[in-house]
Amino acid sequence: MAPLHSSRISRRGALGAAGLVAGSALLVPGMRRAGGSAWAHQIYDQDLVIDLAVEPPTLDPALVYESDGWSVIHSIYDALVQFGPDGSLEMVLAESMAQVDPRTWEITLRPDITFHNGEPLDAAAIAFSISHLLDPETASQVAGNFQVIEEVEEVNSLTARLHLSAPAPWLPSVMAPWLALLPPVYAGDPANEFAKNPVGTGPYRFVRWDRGSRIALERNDDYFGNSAKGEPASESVAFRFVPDATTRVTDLVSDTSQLVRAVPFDELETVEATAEVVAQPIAGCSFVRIPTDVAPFDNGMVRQALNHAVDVEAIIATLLGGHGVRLPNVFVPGGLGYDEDLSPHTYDPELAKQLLADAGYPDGFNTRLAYTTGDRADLAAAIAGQLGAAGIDVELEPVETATFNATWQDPEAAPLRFLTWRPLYDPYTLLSLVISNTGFLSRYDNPEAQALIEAGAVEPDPEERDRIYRELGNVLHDSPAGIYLWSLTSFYGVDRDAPPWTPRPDDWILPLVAEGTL
Amino acid sequence: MVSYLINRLLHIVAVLFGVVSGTFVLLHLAGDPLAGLIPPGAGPEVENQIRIAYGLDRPLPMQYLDFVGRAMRGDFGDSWRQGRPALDAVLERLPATLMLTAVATALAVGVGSCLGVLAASRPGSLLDIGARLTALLGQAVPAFWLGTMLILLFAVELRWLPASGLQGPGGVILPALSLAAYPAATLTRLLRASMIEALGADYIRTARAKGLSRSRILIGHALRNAALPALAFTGVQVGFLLGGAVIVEGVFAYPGIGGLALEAVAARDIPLVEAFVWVVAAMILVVNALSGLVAALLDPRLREDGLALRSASS
Repeated sequence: MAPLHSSRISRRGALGAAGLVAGSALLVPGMRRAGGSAWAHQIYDQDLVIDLAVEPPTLDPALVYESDGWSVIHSIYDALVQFGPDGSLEMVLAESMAQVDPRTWEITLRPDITFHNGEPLDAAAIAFSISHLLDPETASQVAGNFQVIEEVEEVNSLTARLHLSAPAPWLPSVMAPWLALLPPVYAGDPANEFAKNPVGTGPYRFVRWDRGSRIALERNDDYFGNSAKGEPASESVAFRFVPDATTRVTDLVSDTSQLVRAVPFDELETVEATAEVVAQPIAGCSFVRIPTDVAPFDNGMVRQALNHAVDVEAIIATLLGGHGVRLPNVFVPGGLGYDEDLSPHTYDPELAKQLLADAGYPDGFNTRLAYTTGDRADLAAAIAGQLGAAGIDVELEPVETATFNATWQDPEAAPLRFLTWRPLYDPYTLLSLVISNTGFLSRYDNPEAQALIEAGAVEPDPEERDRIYRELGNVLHDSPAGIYLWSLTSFYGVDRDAPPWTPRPDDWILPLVAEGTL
Repeated sequence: MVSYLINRLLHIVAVLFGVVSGTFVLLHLAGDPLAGLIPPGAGPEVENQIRIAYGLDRPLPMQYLDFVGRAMRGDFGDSWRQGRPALDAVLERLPATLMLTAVATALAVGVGSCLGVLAASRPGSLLDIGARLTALLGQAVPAFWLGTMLILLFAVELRWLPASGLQGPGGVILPALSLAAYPAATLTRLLRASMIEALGADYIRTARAKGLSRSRILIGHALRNAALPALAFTGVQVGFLLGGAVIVEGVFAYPGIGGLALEAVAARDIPLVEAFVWVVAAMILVVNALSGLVAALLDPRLREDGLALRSASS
């Protein structure tokens, strides 16, 4: 008995040491020995098993606000439009969408599309879905984005006109995630509880939802051809909800799942030993918000000094595996307003110190930097460390997300805050919330920028809008609203035997293959 | 017996009232309940709309009275995030937690009592040393680390069990093992100590003198007397497990109530948090009452007075 115990102890100890020192070394032989992915089929009857991190609280599209939820939502439902890899607007359920005049949009639907329950898709679905979003009973957090729509006029069975209270050239960017079309008859009957038993036009039909665990879908054989989203990649799909990143990685290497979200940076090698890592550029950015309503940040030279003090390239190379582009402002490649010819601030700690001295802070100053507990602490620490080298002593404050979101304008909260914002095809929401002096998240005020933000929000011509935003980009570069950092990259882990699948720049994991991507 | 039951029931109602009130106060102390509900960027008019929709515009004492009145009847209103009754959301996740608690407790009691009794039967032997070492290790190893190691061994290396989730009964084994290690170890040590004490007592000598078999003496006489502290510990431990094993559930993506509670707290989904606390408190009260009854069955001394029917733990 005693020898048995001691051998178990030593086995555990050895595993522990191996796991702590070199997790990947231990994982490799296991994978080679077992091989194949028969395992997934032992546990699941689905052909494709996907690990997401966050479970959507409901399957009502108006009440889902992040990429994991949208991955499920847009597998079941379709929106009118989406944004393609190059940031261009693509039609999904809409056949065309045009501005008749700046305050009137005409949407024509694709003909002959039916919902999973047989209900035909017609203009009534557009009117119903918009009024559902705006209904105070729905309590959607994004209703404000759609309040510009005053009336939905059904012109004929496939055509609707949106009458707006003000020009809203950014409308497609909020329609893409939130305006998934609902079947009016089915969703209009409360007895059906569509948020629990969703019916859409999308590439997959809803099968079942084991709360806390998974959502199972099956292929919609009647899904319309030539969808810009792509074709279903699999007969059946299970989305599992696995909050712990290390568990998602072990799911992948043990073939419990075939596709996992957000592989942590320090486990990329582990995954690469047995599966593939897909590094997908995401239309979004990270920056450190700097307020202008409090000293010393009201001084533009101080804000420039902060930008010169952080070696963003080094952080990208060491902590982000070389993925991501250093940005000169908040605009990103593939989105409106991005200017390749505008150089980011140089990394120059001496210049930073000089600027601080010129601004009247020869000995630097103390400040605080907040980030959410969901963000990577090492990134915040690297930024704080580099600011420290330039004489700015930064105290780091990890904050729970709900508190972070409640303290955007709180003068007691840390003045600097680490932000990640996506998607950014259209920077309207970011600008109007975080940078405009009327934004509810903003502590930035600059008259020159303000005029351009307001002009960009109502300019109907896309090229002219892009030009306005480029000009704004120059202003924001010279009079910074933040320490500008990098464009985002998502790391997905993919089993080598997984069905082909197309990653997306909006970071939704849809089990679809888009045309021209194979 | 009737007066005992009435007393016990009043006790449960009083504790639930305290729990419900305490949760309300703590949740409202934790900051604006709307912090997680107001969209970043919502205007003041949206905020007011939401405040009225959730009844948060009323004076706090009104909110409290209304809340307590409904909560004592098990009505917590709709979860703010899920838009359906909060109690349903909690009860739906309960079976997974009950199963995990049952399997982990069975494992802990089974392994703990075997090792404890065997170790006590031959103090100082190799068997005893081995059991004590195992117990020490079981108490020292954190559950999340043990869980990760179990995944590496049984899911990644051997592929006997799934790495995470609960599809089929296999999914409960690894989380239950991770959770059982600590209570099994503690039970081993508790039982070993109290068994050694019991085996030195006069009535054991009498039993030996009567010529009873060794196993009869160990199980029928010594264990029955030595089991009380172990039983009290088990009762507390079951209550602890019923509260949701947040970390281990996280490691195994296990769909119990712990993960739900964590999400609810992070999102400030107050009705859901309140429903969770209420359900857990109610279950712990029931478990305490049950362990009191079992203790009384084992020990006639606890049966003399009805009101003394309480476990050593409470």
